[in-house]
Amino acid sequence: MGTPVNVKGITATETGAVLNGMIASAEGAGGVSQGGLMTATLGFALQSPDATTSVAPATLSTVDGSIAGVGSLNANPGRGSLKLTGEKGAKLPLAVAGPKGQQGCTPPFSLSTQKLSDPNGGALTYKWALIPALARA
Amino acid sequence: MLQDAAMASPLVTIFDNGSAFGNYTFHLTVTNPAGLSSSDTVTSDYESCQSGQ
Repeated sequence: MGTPVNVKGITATETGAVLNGMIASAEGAGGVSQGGLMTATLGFALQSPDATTSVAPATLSTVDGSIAGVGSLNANPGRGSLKLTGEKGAKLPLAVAGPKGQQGCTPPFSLSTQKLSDPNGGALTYKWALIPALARA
Repeated sequence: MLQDAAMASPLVTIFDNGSAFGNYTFHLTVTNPAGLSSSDTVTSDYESCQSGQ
């Protein structure tokens, strides 16, 4: 078995977020420097770019990892670098119904979708419904 | 009462028979092409002209 390799504190930037990645465990089989296979288990978490803004839980739809290592026979420890690229999963659209507090005695009036947006840039479909008065009690 | 409920800004018509005033709550659901949806509600206060307010 080869020498265990540990790499920490690796970051990779992608749009709107930072992927903090680290190798949770890595182990070379037959000696890394001898061209043997090395397997690594990756762990990562999303953080806001400025570390103060909260980030909603997101699903990473794809994650690619590549490892370039440098080592020598029987060297301890080894060195390596890790590159992570991520593509965040689809986010929920945001619906804001309005206008709030509409008052008047001359209907009809129009409802609206204020500040409505889809972070994925797709076309949205709408469905309005009147909540029956008994259900509102 | 709701016209074009599948539009972004539907028209609300209230048939006032003298007791139609009060609060009306509408529920909005938006769905994106991926099938993800979000909802919100809005309450409109309708004051009947016949109530003298």
